[in-house]
Amino acid sequence: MKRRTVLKLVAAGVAAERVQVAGRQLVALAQAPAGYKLRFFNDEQNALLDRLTELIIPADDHSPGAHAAKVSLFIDLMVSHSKPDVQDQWTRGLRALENESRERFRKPFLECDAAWQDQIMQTISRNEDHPSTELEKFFRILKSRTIDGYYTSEIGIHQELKYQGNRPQAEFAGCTHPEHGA
Amino acid sequence: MTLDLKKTYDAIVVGSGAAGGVAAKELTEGGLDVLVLEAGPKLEPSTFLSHRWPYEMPFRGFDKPGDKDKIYPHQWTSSEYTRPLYIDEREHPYTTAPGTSWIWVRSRCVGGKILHWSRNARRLSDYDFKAADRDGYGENWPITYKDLAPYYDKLESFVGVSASIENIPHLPDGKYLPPFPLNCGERIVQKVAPTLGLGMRVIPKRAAMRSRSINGLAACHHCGHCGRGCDIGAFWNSISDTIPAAAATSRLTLRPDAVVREIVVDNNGKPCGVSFIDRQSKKDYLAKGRVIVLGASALESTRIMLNSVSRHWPDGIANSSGVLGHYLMDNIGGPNVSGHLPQLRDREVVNEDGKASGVDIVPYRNIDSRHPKFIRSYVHEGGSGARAFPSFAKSMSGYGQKFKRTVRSYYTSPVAFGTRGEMLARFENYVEIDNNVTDSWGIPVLKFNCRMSDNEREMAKDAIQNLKALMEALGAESVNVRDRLMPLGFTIHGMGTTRMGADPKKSVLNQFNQTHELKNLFVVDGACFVTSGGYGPTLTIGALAARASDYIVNQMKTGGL
Ligand SMILES: Cc1cc2nc3c(=O)[nH]c(=O)nc-3n(C[C@H](O)[C@H](O)[C@H](O)COP(=O)(O)OP(=O)(O)OC[C@H]3O[C@@H](n4cnc5c(N)ncnc54)[C@H](O)[C@@H]3O)c2cc1C
Repeated sequence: MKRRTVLKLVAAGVAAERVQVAGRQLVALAQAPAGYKLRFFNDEQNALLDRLTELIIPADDHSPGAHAAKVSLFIDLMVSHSKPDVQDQWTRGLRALENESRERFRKPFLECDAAWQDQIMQTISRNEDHPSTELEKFFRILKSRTIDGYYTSEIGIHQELKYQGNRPQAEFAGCTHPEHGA
Repeated sequence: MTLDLKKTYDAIVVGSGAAGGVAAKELTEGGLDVLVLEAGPKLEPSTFLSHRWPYEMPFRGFDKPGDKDKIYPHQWTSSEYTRPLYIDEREHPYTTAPGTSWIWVRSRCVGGKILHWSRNARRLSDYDFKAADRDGYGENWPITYKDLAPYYDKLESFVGVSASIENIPHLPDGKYLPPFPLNCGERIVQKVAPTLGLGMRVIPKRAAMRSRSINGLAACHHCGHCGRGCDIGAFWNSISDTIPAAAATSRLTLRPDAVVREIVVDNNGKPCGVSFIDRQSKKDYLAKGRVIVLGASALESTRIMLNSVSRHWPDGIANSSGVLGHYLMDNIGGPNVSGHLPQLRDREVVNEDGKASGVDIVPYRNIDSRHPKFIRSYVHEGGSGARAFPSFAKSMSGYGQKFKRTVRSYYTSPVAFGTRGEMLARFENYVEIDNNVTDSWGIPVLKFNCRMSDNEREMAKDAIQNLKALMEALGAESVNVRDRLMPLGFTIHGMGTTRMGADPKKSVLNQFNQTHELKNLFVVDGACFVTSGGYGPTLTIGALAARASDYIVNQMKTGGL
């Protein structure tokens, strides 16, 4: 991890052990997709985004999650090509989330433990169908892009969903279950 | 063969899609020297992104944000995977009259739109051709089912349509390859739908794609991405079937990148050739032909005719009736439902996406009885099975482990149905030339004046109500209902505007797709339709093009042309 980045994270109030965790993540992110450089978000924003996407689609015993699928980098790419008002929504959303965390727990989001992070996630996802606050609206775009990024990644398609299509095959088998037929 | 501008071809065919491809094949096989002028380039199937994974695409298939609005706001079926297969709207503008709308989806390449169409290939019947006799609305077609049946037979036997024999009077059977088998969800629907008491009957989609190889043409290999163009040419797409058949006669000259501007007439006002502009160099050319056959797609053929203005034809060629441009139709689209079948959740994932064909719920309205609120009918198209991208995840609430598990659980259980319905032919729905706007080749563009009527709205209401009932009967979970009628043009079935008819005052073409006024001018695409039928026009376009071509060949032999 770059020294400058560490300093920024420290300056942002990220505790030493957290810096290491976040640092490992950042390193992993920097390694692939080969040569991807952040285009819109800065390293801190990306670390936060990475965590948020993982909270939406986490690793479980079935498959790795959004972090391993590098969903935050996909979001960075898409946002970098978006209109200024969309870009604003993302930067404002991340900032509002950070503020929420500091107000409620006196800590940056990445320093909060899992339970606290979850409390914030619960708050922002509360009105998913009819979002009204800035954070609620942010959750919507965050979740939507996380779904886009995760389920179009190699991990999402092959390990999580185990999608079987897009493979040439001689015959299409069709349904073989008598109970489904007339 | 390369184009010879000195030569007078027996026939010039404009366009190389469904209509132009069939005309080229039938005319060359009938012994004519044919020049096909196609506005777009020839694309190599090996360049189609048929098997590309999303993570191999720069923007995962979602396209660069903003491109859609800028480059192709109306090309709603196109995507990052299919950019060269659709037009760039900055080069191909069109306009709409205030308070009206039209979604104009276009392809300019050899093969046209059937390079990536959905392959629904149902025959029309006398319920359509003689619809006016049944309910008193509008006009009958100048042909009967019996006139067209041999041409449907011939076309199906050549390109291959996979379907089941059902003996349904209003959906005649054809010459079919074995149907694609139904998947689990589709079989469940097939069992449940008839229990609603609405007369719903579920049959395999009638698909112009090959379940078996015939005539040396490839069989489907079940990759599931027909909409991106088929790299092995396993469905009727013009470039692997009709065009090569025409080329095999050695009587075909195909000139790609030839943007036709207008039909050129002699001193008597009779067509003698076609003027075109090279797509890239933008130079002007004139090609000569005895017979001109327009198959540039319904609205482009009409645009060419409206732009063919001369001393003899001040309002567009062959338009003394004033009908040219009128009776514009689409099929109605929009009303759809989606949901999940509980008994199919948490299954082992199998390849269901590889069968890019679902099921039809056969038209059941206004067949044996009369609906009080609307005339004519509609079909539901739909299916089931796990698709690559679980778009339904966006309507599942929550986050975290539970959310992820829910998506996985529902992934194997989706079921969805949409609607395609008949839009009525009405004089007041029309296109005209907008002389204030030209395309990149300096050709004046079309202006659309088209509105929905209450008949379409009532039909859509009925359709959505019945689809909701179907989802209930299926016990579907997490049901999404979209009752919005999409703007016209949405189903990409543009029809009418040079309609056929027995009366030259009320129609542009006779029963052989020949203009009433000019013996050597034909329109063989969907522009000739008198009614829109409840569903896709393409198979009927092909059959009519074959019939018209047969007529042209015979007339040329007997001196009638
Ligand atoms: C995604 C999609 C799904 C569809 N699904 C179905 C379906 O399931 N069932 C169905 O029946 N129909 C379907 N359709 C519609 C179907 O594609 C059309 O009905 C069919 O292609 C019409 O054939 P055509 O030859 O008239 O026009 P096109 O296939 O559009 O071909 C016209 C050709 O003419 C050329 N051309 C246009 N203007 C000029 C000019 N000025 N000079 C020279 N050449 C010109 C074009 O470049 C084009 O190649 C679908 C369409 C799309 C896009």
